Amino acid sequence: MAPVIEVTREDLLARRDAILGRLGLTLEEYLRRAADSELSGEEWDVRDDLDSIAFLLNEQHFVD
Amino acid sequence: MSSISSTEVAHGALAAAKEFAAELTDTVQAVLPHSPVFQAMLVAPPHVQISVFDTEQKIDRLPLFIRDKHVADWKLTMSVNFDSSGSYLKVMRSGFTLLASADKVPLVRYEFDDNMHTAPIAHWQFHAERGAFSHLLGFALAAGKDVKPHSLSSLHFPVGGARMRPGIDDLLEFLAKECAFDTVGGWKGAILESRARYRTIQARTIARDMQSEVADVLRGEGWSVEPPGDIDGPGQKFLSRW
Repeated sequence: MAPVIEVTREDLLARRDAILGRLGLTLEEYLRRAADSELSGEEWDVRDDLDSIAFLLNEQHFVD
Repeated sequence: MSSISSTEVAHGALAAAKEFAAELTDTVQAVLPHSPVFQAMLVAPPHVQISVFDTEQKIDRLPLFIRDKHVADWKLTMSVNFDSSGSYLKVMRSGFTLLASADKVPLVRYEFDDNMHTAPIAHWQFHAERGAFSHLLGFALAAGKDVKPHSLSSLHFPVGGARMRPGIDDLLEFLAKECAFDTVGGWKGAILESRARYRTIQARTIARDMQSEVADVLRGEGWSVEPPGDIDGPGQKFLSRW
């Protein structure tokens, strides 16, 4: 069986804050940059993580 | 009907997620060398993320080789949830990204989002440049259309909707055949097994969506098929969404 990683909502929120903090962006700023096709390499590098966190938190705002 | 407790749902979902991740691992490792294990990350079912994660629980790249030289990477993400019984998983979103090992901006992406309402549910996006295409989109922008001439990757190329979208087998075969990355001996057999499994599931789902049409086809083939009573009309989601 494949391993399972159990996380809490608080873990996910903290991880998202850390990711965005390293980029110096708010979530809204990040999503706006994505919507405008203006993500840098560093910003692309965390895109799947941010989308994954949003899905696990049952949110509906994903990067296009 | 007996009620199902949230604990039972969680247990069933956990088992299904583990099985799904293990199946994905087996298929990928049978095709691409040095492929790691897929894992299931979950808060509390029904939402589960299946990917390869690094030691910091960041979604990791999977290496791709040409003649044993690491030249590129890819990522695969599957976001799944479960029905009310907690036993049957449904892929809500999936993503495939191909990257050069020296770069963080994708080369190409394939994505599926069952809740997509604007772009096609399943689509490819190409992170490339083509002056003539940008020039063309410039006319649309000048006419007031919502386009991004500077970014070809903003275009979503539709590929079959929710039911006829490519499976992991197609993505792996793209890497093996079209991109010529190194493969594991016997990889074609693993592709065929995965494809047969995936397309059987999709065919059964389409049959549920299109029961009258399926019954007509079966009658034409000599089967005796009678409706059980009132049946739902054709699946509008299947017929209408791109």
